[in-house]
Amino acid sequence: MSGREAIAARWSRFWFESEVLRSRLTAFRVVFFGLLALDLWVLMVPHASRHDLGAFNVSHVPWLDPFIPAPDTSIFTALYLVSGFLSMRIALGLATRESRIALTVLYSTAYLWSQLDSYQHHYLICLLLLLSCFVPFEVTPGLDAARAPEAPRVVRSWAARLIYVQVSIVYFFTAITKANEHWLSGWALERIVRVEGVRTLFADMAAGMGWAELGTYALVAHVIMLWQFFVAVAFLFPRLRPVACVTGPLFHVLVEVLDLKIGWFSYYMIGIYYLLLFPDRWFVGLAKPLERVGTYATHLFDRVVRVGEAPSVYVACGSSALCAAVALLVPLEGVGVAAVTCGLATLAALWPRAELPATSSVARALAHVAIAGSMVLAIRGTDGPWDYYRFWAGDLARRGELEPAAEMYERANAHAPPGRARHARLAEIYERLGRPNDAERTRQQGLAHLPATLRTTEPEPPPPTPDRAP
Amino acid sequence: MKMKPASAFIAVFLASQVLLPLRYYASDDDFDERFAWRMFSPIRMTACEVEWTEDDVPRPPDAEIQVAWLALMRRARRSVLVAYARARCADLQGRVREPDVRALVVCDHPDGRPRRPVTPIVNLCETLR
Repeated sequence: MSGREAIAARWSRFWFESEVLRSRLTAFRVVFFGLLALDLWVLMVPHASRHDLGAFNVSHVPWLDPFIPAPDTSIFTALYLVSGFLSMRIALGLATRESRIALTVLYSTAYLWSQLDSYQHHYLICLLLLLSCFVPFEVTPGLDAARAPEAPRVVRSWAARLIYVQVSIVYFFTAITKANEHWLSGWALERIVRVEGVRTLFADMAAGMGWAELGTYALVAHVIMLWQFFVAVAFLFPRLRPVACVTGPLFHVLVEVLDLKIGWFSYYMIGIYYLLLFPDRWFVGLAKPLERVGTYATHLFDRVVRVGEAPSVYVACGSSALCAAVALLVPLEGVGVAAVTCGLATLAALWPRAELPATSSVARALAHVAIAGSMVLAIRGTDGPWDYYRFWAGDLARRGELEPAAEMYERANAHAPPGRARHARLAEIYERLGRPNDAERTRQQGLAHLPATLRTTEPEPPPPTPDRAP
Repeated sequence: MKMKPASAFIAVFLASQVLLPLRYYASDDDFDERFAWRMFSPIRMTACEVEWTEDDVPRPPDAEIQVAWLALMRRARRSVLVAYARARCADLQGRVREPDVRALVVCDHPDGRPRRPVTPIVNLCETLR
């Protein structure tokens, strides 16, 4: 065998003979896409209102800017809502292939469209979504394939292997970032740590050891850099994974303790450590109880619905209409576009055709409606609408656009948690608009909640600064 | 030997994921850390001040653009500064004979050395033409 052939053989073995547990893929699909759906609905949707920019926007690919339209709030809201819908569909195992492709396009479009989103972990998610399009999630059990007794225990997937390599690249470069005097001296870490308890602990430790003021920070900074190099290697070499899969989640729990305001990055990473690095035996052990639950759910499923029943045009049309109607209960701009898109996606998944999944079309239809319902619950059940309109109103007021700002404050107040409505701020805007009656009405509304609304004269907090995330 | 399409995809993907971060280290722009996986970098800890002038008169953009763009300007994100300058120059083009838009961006040095200007003080309407 020539040298070139040997390299080709190694390449082929590394990528195309790489095996992964099917249950690992199932867990990845459920956890990663489930988390992403909630992230989109709970965390990202409230910030869609910052895309009300007039004409100014800079995309992540600035040379494309002359050719792409300026984004607006409705479009971004719809992008996030529909992306969440598709992501939850994948998590449940519904139309996974089409949904992954559509989700990758929509999520990446939203990310690349504007530098207002400069979170690095959102870029990482774009890459993972792209790779997930090539992962054989079709063999994992879900609502499209509840029972697959012939499915193998392990499956070959070059895309899954590439996910490991991608995460390794991320850790390698982030470790390189720390190989400089500003990080290793503890200077940068000292500026990151803002939690008083941790600062006191570090100071006490330095005093106890007789170190300089930054001594503990320097020690921790060295440990973090070396650990990140180690993890970069561990993602490639299975023998190192037991150490990495224990230390990794601990590191990201520490990041959460430090309150670094980096969205759900730590939760994604803790999930990735469990899903990718837990040794097979540990993984299977942990997955066993879940598998049992799945088996019981399958039995119950069999009793309640008739498996493999003929798909019906009525079921497809009815459930897609119901799905769209439920989605319309989201109280945000752009919900019409999102509802129609969710309805069409449901129709496409359920429309009768020869190669439809063997599971019950009724169950699949109900699942689609349930996803739309969970979207409404995730948004209405949190402070999402309040934040959405409050951020929007605050920005409009800052830019002197008082009429629309007043309208957005009205909407925000309609969704405000108890005691947090911005009556005083809104009354002030009405005064500036020369609408004393509205100002008085708003003040009276505020007086009804006086003890709690004393703080409403506080200025609107600035929206989170982009790119605080690692 | 014929290359599988999957092999070609892997090769292109890997090359892009190695070259994109390396591009940061080859660039003269320290402040744009996108796509380089520079989590918690010392550059991220530096603070900048941005001062816009038009015809030598200070003209802060605060009331025109979303507050997150101002934050990106204070982080000396060059593509945002350039895009805003272009927008201002285009806006002034029909109304002023020779528009003069300048941005002075001054940043802390990570190690506490004296502050340094990041942008040359030039008329951006001429240099970006």
